[in-house]
Amino acid sequence: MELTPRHREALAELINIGYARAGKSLSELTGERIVLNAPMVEIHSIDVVRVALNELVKGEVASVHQVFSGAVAGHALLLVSNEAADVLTSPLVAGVPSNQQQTARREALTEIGNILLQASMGLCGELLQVHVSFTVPRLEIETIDDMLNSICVNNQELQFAVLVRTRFELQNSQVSGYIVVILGVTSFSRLLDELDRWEARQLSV
Amino acid sequence: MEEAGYSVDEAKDGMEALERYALSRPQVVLLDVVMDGMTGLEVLAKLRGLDPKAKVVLATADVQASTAATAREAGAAGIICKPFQRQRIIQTIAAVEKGEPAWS
Repeated sequence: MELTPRHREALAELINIGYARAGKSLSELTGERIVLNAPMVEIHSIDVVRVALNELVKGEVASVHQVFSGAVAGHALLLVSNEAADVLTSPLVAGVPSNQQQTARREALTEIGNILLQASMGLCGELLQVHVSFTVPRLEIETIDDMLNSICVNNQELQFAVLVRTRFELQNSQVSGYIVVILGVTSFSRLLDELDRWEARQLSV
Repeated sequence: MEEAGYSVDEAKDGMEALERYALSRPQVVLLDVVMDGMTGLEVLAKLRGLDPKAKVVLATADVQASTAATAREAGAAGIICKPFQRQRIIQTIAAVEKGEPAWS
């Protein structure tokens, strides 16, 4: 299964629009200017995704994981280092008593992930005219391997995955994170169909 | 909300929200769309079944117009899109309490 250059370009453009919205949301939350790099769209076996993510993020990462369902279904993840998590959540937990800081930081990071992922995936769904629903976001602190194992266990379809990765940077903080979307083969195929329809609509306007 | 003079009752999930609504009949209900167990839209439908005049505002990070349209069709009085400022919640609740729609 391969992405053609035309599909890759269309998907990157679509995700760019979605991630711009996500960046705006993150900027509103943190009060800092957010720089979002152009998304890279690739299709890999899950083992290659594992290697690629391990190269991007070392050791344990904080992951906010949200499952989305609909005609196109999959897993959306916000991945940040512990240091980045602290920077992201600090403005939101200022004033919280020290004995409640850890819980407040977890809740804040989960909500940041929720807003970022729904903004980006929701806008992509909106543009493709495919409604997607989201589950409650889950925050985990674990290695990339453990994270992927928990997603892929008992799911043979996820042997292949579309990896969409975008690096975002808080301009004043030198921290970054990644948004990753993992789709199964069936959803990937549907996504290509929806991309064709989207392109056709664009050309007919 | 309490600093703005409102009395606030919290529920941890949709089921508890339904129980508390039946007991105290609050003037306005603020529901997250994404919740454990029942979704906010499911709770909205049940609340409106319980009380067709229930004033319900949904809070969501979901930017899809179809989500807002579904909420409107299900009888929501308004929607607040995340991220939001405290003042935005207060303004929305105040508007809905007065019977005005609040669709941001």
